[in-house]
Amino acid sequence: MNDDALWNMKASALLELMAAGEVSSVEVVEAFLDRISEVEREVGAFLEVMQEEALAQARRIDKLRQSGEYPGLLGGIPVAVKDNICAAGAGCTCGSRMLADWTAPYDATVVRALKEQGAVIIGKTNMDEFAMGSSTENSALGVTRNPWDLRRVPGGSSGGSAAAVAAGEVPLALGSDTGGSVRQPAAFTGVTGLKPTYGRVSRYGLVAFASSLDQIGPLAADVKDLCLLMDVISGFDERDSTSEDRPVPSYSQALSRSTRGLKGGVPKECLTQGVSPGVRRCFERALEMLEELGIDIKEISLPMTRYALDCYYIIAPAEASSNLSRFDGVRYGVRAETESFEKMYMRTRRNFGPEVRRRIMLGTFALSAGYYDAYYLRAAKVRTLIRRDFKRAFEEFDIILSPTAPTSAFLLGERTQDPLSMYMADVLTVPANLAGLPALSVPCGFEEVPGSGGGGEGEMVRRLPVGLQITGRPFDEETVLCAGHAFYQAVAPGVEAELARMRKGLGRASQGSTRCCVQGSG
Amino acid sequence: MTLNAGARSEGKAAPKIDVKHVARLAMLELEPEETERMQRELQSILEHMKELFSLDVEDVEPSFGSFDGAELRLYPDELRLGLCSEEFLRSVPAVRDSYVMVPRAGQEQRSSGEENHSRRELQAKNER
Repeated sequence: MNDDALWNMKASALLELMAAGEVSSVEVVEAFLDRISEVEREVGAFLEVMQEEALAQARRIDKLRQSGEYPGLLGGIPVAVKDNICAAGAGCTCGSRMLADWTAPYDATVVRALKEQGAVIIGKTNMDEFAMGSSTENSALGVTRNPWDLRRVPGGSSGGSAAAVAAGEVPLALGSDTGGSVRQPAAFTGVTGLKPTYGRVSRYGLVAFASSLDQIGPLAADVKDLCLLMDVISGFDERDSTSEDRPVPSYSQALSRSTRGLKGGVPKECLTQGVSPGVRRCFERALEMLEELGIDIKEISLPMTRYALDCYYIIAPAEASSNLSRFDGVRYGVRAETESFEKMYMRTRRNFGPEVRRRIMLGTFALSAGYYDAYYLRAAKVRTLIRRDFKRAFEEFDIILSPTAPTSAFLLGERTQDPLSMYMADVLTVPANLAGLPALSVPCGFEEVPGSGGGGEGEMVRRLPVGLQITGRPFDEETVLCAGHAFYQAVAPGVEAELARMRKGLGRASQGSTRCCVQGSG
Repeated sequence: MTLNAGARSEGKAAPKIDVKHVARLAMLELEPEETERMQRELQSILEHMKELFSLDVEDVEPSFGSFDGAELRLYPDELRLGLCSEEFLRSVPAVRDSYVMVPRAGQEQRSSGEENHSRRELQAKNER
């Protein structure tokens, strides 16, 4: 378990090693599979690990390399995929009992692109049921824990993907982001995550939650690795009618651009939304560092963003209530056997968990006769106002800065009884979805919270990662990533030292130690 | 459609949500205790949203997506290779001779509500 273990390396470094013939893809994949079996009992990031298929693909890539052929941009690199994105032949449960036994018959466009570029799909990751949640606790199929503190949530809904990257179980992962589901877990687990512009990445093969907000996004240890994924998954797809047909730059190459002279706006509203003192301190320090990088920072106002959370929790459930009507037991998923059709439909839908039911109810209400104008239409109009706020801001500013989430990772169970307190975790991330903007979360420091205390390994304080959110103009991922990369370079030594320490502490349970922080099933 | 939206905008309290009616529309079966909890939770969510109603949105155009003038496109209607029906039928819970099997529809007691009525008929029609 040393720092130069293959599983501890970034994708960019592994690609160099493989290209130089120093390691094979099989060795790389085996290293990650070993790591998964070492720490998975504690972390619980995966719903399915595709060992055989992964090794077979790795052998194919090694053969290609040996015969002098180019194995693709991600040749031989393991990638984890959130379990709401279809990979042919693998399960695609969406964290729901409804699809617990369903096998995807085709590849999502992003999965196909990954395979074409030589990536090795290593497994499917846990998530809040149908991506509805901010802690992964709404998964019906398992508990995922935050590798930084196993008593805490990894964030959500792409909590499995984020935890897997943080724990060193995989260098790259895909998530989906409807209201912050890539960025918030990235922030909670100390990795980077991007929600691309709506239309930048094809949604074909992503199980729909809220179609006007959903976007697939990458997670990785740093921005450089994130760009490797973006270079592969971005671009037009005729199978997604909302996909945008416009040129895709090389994001990896954009990282070398200078950040000097960029204008950054800090919405004054963003620090009033229940932001914890620790997160605030990290954010203020991050702003100082960005200024040292030559970014010109000014306070701005986005007055309508204070309505974003309410607006989101009308629009997203409304779209979800419609999208999820397809789960009727007729064509796929589980079916409750009953004597009549209607009973079958209703009984089958009992397989939805409490949060999904709550949102279907909320959305159905917002769309129902008598309330459509008052709720759904009003929210759609407020969405226009929020978009206008951003449009105005981007006439003057290149990027907008805020913390990614108001707090660091909370405790498992802390918010499950109070839906509103869970929804608050999304308050800083939903505006980018409502406006369709690209937004990145990049680690910016640590908040100290009380540790487990007591004897043994118990410590007095625990350091939890905090994320900085950088939002950009539509289709200007380059500027967002470039600023994020420059910033990450500045914090990397501190962040990566902590990450290495955290990773070292994992996996002891499977080696016979008594450390066990959370009761519950995996 | 009956609109009491105008009254709502000025109102102080969120409307009382008819959970049983909404559950019927959503085709969800709620246990009695779940009905009660759902009522409480949805009500508190709606209360939280009250601020939205302080905004004047009378002359604002709604946004149903993220872009101005973004147009949805269709791809050309031409024959091409795709998944065959057998592959999709593999996911279907009950199949006979490549037909999707479901219990008989439209046989239930017609109880309450127009919506329920028409919905059931629609389903029955779809089944034929």
